Amino acid sequence: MKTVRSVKIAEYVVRYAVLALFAVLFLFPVVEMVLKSFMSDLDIRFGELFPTSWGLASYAEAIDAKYWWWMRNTIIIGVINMVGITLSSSLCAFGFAKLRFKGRETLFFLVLATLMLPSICMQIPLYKIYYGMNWTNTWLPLTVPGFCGGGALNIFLMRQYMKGTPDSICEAAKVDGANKLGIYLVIVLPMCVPILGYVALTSFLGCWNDFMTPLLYINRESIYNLSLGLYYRYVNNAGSIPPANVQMAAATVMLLPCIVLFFCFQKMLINGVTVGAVKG
Amino acid sequence: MEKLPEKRRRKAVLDWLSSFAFVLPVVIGIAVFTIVPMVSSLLYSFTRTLTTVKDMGPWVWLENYRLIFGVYWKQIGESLGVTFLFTVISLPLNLVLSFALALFLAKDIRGIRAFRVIYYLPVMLPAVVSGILWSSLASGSDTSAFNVILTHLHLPAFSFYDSGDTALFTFILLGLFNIGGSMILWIAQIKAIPVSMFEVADLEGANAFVRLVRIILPLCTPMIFYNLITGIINSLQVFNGVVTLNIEPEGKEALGFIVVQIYDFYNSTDLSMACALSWILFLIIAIISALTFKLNRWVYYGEEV
Repeated sequence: MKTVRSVKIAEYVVRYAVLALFAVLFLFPVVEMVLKSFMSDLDIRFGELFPTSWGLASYAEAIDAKYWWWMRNTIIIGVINMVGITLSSSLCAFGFAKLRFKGRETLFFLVLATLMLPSICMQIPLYKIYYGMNWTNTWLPLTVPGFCGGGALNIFLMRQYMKGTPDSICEAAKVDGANKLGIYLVIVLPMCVPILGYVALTSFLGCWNDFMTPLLYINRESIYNLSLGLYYRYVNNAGSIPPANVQMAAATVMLLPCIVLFFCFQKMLINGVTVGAVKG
Repeated sequence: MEKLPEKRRRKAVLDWLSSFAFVLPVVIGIAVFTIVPMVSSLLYSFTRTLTTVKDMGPWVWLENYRLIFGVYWKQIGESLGVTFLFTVISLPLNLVLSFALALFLAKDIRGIRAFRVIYYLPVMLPAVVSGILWSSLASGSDTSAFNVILTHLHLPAFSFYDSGDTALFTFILLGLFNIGGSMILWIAQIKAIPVSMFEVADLEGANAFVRLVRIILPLCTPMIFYNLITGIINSLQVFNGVVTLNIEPEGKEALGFIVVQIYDFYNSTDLSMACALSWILFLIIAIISALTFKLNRWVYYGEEV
């Protein structure tokens, strides 16, 4: 019995050692980013891994008035999309999951098929369309598409979830004279809070991280989102690019909300990711 | 007698309309933001439109495609080659490693949740943040974090992103930091396997290898398929990860994936060429996805099929 136990303990030790090793590896980039953000210019020049003196000078330089302004823009765009995507994808998902109408299956197949189209195919001609409607250099290209379906993946995830809710309650409500909108609002939506939360949160995070759409349609500094602002400051900048500590300070502040949201809603996020994938 | 069917039909139409109204947003979305641009992209590819703001240029029919497979082929063929090479190496590597990691993390032991969160952390990085971060950590200079570590280990410095020979390798290697994304999916799939299966296997005296090959792998095939399809589609369109890098031109040239080429054409206002190239990419993705779907006999969808 004793050997069995010691084998078990050894197994545990090895398991945790490997886990810890990988944890160090996966934490390294983010931790190094934060460490570098506290460094002085001299530390950066000497390529230190740990700051020899901790300072906030790089934050003072990176987080200027423009930075706050871009962050404000990003939050506004994010909140608009959060509302738009959650609303329109839940409406569509309700249609696909709970209502029976001719052409439903074909239409749903069409929605899923759009997942396979390379986005660049659409985005380039869309520039011209947006330009024709005077939409370039406004937030309309970043917000209006969200209200039109909210993305095939979100519709799919929500439909999967709604299919899992009991039909009998909807039938009962129908017998009692509730119309479709009523069933959607009063019965189905309250049952779908977890997936609604998931979609709302990921749409906000998606907007926070979005880079390609603003890159293509926006080139006025005052309406940049944070991604674009940092891109033109630290990546694609014809002038001189500030040193790494300033870059890392800007990046750290941008990452912070993602991490906070992720930690707060960890369980919901992970469950949501897997709803559609496992059941589908 | 005659009025009833009429009334009924009207009711049926109203019922259809009221149901259809719910999916109307996505119908409008697909029409306006997918079909119209797809079709106009195809049309532009048959013209010479050297502007992104004015009207469509003159029709040249297949001239753009002739240019792509002629004068530009050296550049574009190379770019397609790099894109395929990247997909062929990085996708299997990502699938295998994320699956191995998930096997290791699927067992519920104390503190496992914290480890899962840590492994998922790099996936959270916004594209621009990871671009800024990796260009600094993995630059070829002696003071970049990776080279400092190599020097500490008494190893020679490596050029990473700053040389055409090592940029693709570096890009694939650092892409592995994102295996946490598929790992989460694998874990969910593995945990969805009924415990009774493992109990029976234990009774029959199956070892870990048999359990992996006979139970876990077959029951994970739907997820393998899902990850494979999305992986192909995403790897062939890799863009953000490259454009956000601030590295030496040699390194950037070595990472000239096809969508980067398309973007360059668009940036130089050659709309027709960008559209023609993106249609070629679309056809490639469509053919490969169709083949993958055709060959999905190995996917196990449970007994009811």
